[in-house]
Amino acid sequence: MRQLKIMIIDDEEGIVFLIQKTYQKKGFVTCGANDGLTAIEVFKKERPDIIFIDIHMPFSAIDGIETLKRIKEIDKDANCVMLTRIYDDNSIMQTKALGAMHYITKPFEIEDLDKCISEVQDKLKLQEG
Amino acid sequence: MFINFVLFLGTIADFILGTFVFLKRNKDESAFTFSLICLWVGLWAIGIAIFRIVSDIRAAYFWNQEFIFTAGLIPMTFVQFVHAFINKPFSKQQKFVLYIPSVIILIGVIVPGVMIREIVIREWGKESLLGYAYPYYGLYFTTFMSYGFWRLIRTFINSEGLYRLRIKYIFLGTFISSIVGAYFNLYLILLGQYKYIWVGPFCSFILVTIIAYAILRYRLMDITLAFSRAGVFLIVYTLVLGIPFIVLRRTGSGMIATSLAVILATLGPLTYNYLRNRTEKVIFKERRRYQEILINLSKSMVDIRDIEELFKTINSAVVDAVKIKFAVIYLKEEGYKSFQLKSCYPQEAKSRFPELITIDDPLIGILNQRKKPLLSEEIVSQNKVDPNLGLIIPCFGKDGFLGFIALGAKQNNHMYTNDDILSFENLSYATSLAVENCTYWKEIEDRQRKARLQEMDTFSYSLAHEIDNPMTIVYNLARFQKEHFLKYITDPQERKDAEEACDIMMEGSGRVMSMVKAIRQFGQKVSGELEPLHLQEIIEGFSRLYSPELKANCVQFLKEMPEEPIYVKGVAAELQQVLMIFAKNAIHAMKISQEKKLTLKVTRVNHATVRIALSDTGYGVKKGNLETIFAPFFTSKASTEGTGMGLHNAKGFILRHNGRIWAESDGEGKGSTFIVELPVIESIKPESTKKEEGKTKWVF
Repeated sequence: MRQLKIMIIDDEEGIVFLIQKTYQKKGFVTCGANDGLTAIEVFKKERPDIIFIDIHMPFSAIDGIETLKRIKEIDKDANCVMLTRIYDDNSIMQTKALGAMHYITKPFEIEDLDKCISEVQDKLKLQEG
Repeated sequence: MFINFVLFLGTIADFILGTFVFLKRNKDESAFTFSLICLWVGLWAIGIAIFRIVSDIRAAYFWNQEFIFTAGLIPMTFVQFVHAFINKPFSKQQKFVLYIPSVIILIGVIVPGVMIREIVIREWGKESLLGYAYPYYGLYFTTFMSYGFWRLIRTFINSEGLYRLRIKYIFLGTFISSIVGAYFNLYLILLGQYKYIWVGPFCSFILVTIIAYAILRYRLMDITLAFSRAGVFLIVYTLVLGIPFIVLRRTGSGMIATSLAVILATLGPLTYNYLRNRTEKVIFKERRRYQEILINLSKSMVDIRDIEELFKTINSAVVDAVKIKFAVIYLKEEGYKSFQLKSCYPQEAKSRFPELITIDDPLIGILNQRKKPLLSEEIVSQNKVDPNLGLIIPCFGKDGFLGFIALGAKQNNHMYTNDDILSFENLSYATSLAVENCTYWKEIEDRQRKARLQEMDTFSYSLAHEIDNPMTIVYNLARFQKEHFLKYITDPQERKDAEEACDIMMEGSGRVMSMVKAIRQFGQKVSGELEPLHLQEIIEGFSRLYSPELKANCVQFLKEMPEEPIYVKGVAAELQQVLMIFAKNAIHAMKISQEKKLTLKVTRVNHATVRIALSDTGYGVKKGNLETIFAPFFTSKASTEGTGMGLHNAKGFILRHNGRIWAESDGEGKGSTFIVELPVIESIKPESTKKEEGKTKWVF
């Protein structure tokens, strides 16, 4: 079974670093971006299997929701997981409507991300099987 | 015979009209003088009738004198009436001069030969031969009446709305009747035709009919109800008295007539009551319907706790039920000398009204004085009032004048009746109660919210304290790891990653620690004493504390401060709070702005003053509001978003610091700048700016 490619989009560099390094150590291939527009370019090039997107990126030209929308325009089957603050029902509803598969509220633990990754793994196994 | 009967009837109709007008509005000079005219016309008509009936020449002479004199009074009273009606009443002296002709006429009719030479009997009746002064009498009559009509026409041309309609009917009624009267009883007589003097008094019918129509249709003298009752009364009792009279004339039998009179007199009150109820039902059907709605509205108002919802309900219910053009509500602003427009239905009508009406506006004065619903024309003389305005209903509570509801004219242009006014008076009581009720609930909610906020305050300060320790541990352990353990990692790439991880941990925990420090500084107990402060440090504290909020709202924050330290005397927490109030308003103002930029600039104005200016790219401030935004309870936000106290508090803080505070804006949509100027202190002992954290200076 091939290893998944994981992508993380967050304007907080520490988060990108944390997730990338953690999953690299676990043997995954990773990529990341600090703002929405760069993320789109990286997505086009790398075609990751699962993408973690931070909804709230105030100083990015496009926020997480718009990034999700554009990624879904490129590949409507992309597995996107949203990272969000607590009490942000409106954004959560919006991203669900746009086809996000899950959302994870900050602060999170790596196990939360693991669950989503294994779900994607199962999904891909089924497709291949 | 018939002619005389009709003359009597006309007289009675005149008297009734006059009496009602007099009783209804005895304080109003135009109504009073109008009732006088009715009295003169009635006396004149009855004089002519009796003159025709009596067979005694001396008696006829007396009644001739009477009707010439009373007819002579009409033009003077008419002129007085017109002047009162067009709101240019005469002074006492002027009235005295005006009534001089009455004395001359009185002398004229008393002295034999001046007005009346003698009375002769012709085959068609009595004729009064005219004295030599009669043509002058005719001239006087014509001149005075013409002057009155000229004034009426002039006012009619310059007037509008309801007032114009009323002038029209007043003019029609008086003009037609006086033309007819003057033609038959003045000009024909002067030409030698005395036979037709009975035609003149018929004009009083025209007068009564037209004025009565205007009363019913345009609430001319505001007596619809009384008038409809009087009409029924008149009809019923004309029949009760008239039928036996006719029977008596026809049959000559007193018995039948008397018994008929007894029966009819017994039935009279019953018939009157029945007919009265019927007519009122027909006339007031629509009105009864909406009066019921208004009563239900009054009942349901007590259940509403939100004042905006209350106003919306009142306005829409009144507009839809009474079918009027619009309704607006003004409410007195606490501690601020004006009435503010709070609600308008439909929304499009809002442009008709000013946002604020100052407390010294004459309209407010009149409402405060009269304390009851006022028709627009009752204030028309003092104020230029929108012709579409119908009724203004003031509301009074336990603290006096609360506010008022202004209603537009009815959609079918019907008038507000006395009955309506009574219903709205009740509505105004209910509104006052409901407003006080809402204020009461708001106070309770505010108190609860404040209590909750206070709890949150304490909570967040202790939270900050709790965070402090673990963060110190994280920060220092990361540093420890970086300095002592990384050297054991042999793979260079791995070591680089580990080093970066340590840096990120230190940077993150360091950020949290500085934020906690800012929160603790903000939560410092305010001793009330001004202490020397390092201004740049205060501003850094503010930016640490507030940058997450700015970031969350996508606001770019720029700082420009001089390098050399500036010291001011003040309370750190208060100065930071002022900046936070500014920043909070700025975030709100930039909600829909394309560019969201907040710039804080510190400049030395001169050696003694420093200026802190916070500029945003939000929707700005209206020119007229630059001062009022500092007033208490002023807010451009929805009621759930702010208390309207922020800038007022900020002003209080800055004044305590002996500083100045003001706002500048190039107008709506062009952003705004809030500026504070504080006095600078030149020298400072370094130790006095440093606060030791253990000195029980903190809230927690």
